Amino acid sequence: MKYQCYTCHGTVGQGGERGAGPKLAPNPFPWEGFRLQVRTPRQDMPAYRAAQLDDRELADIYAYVISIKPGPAAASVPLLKFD
Amino acid sequence: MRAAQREMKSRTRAAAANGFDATPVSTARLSAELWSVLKNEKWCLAESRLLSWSARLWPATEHYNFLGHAGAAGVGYTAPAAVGAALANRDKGIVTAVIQPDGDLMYAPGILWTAAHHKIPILMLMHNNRAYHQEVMHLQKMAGLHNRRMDTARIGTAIEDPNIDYAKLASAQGVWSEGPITNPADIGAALGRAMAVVKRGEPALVDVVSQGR
Repeated sequence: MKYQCYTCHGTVGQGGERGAGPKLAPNPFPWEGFRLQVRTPRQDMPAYRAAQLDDRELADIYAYVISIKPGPAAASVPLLKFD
Repeated sequence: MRAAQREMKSRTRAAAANGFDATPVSTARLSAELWSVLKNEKWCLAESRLLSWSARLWPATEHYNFLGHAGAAGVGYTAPAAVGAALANRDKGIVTAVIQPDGDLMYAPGILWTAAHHKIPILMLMHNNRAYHQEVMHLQKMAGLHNRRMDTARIGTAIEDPNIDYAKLASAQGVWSEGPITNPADIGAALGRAMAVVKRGEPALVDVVSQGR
């Protein structure tokens, strides 16, 4: 929360829209891919350099992301039936 | 084409299920809850581009279902435009709803009084992310570009401390309201009560504390 990743990716890594970021969880990138994206991001994501966010804190963020459990399957959610 | 469309809908529903029970409430959840009370009505979503879940998931069959947006990301458009649409729809038996961003409402909050005074029925579901959120993300991007701290982006862009109570803002101007709601399980019942107000010809606002996007 401190580095405000949630503003684009959501508080449970669900992703956002309209200029926001993709889904991070569940099943995030492997650590090296995650770190690479944070340090040298593709597209519009701002780069979080080591001077602002060191590897130890980044590892803590990654530990949170990999701890996020999958949500309900869409087929099991009555509110997600639109037919 | 039909198979591709079904596949697209299936992927979108799966994406909507991510964080469906989260607090703050996900934007997909907002859209799904609103559909639940609109689906048996002649409905109009007065602003349909700020959050795309509705356009991607709701089955639109009529020209009046989705009314688009300001264009050029104009802030402050949604609330007055939605009330204008509701006025146009009032005598046509069309229920007008809007997923109302909080920052947008703060540009012209007196529109709530206008809706109450002129008895314009509209269902406003607040997308209360407690920020001018587009600015938050933009400032983060600019900070990254200029090698500055990213964690100061909420200075001057967050709408918190104090949090605005949109239910009180609405009721102070004569609009039925409930909230702020933080538990997604409470949204459905609140929207049901709000819809009853709208069906008797009055505006209603339900404030939900939501995810940024």
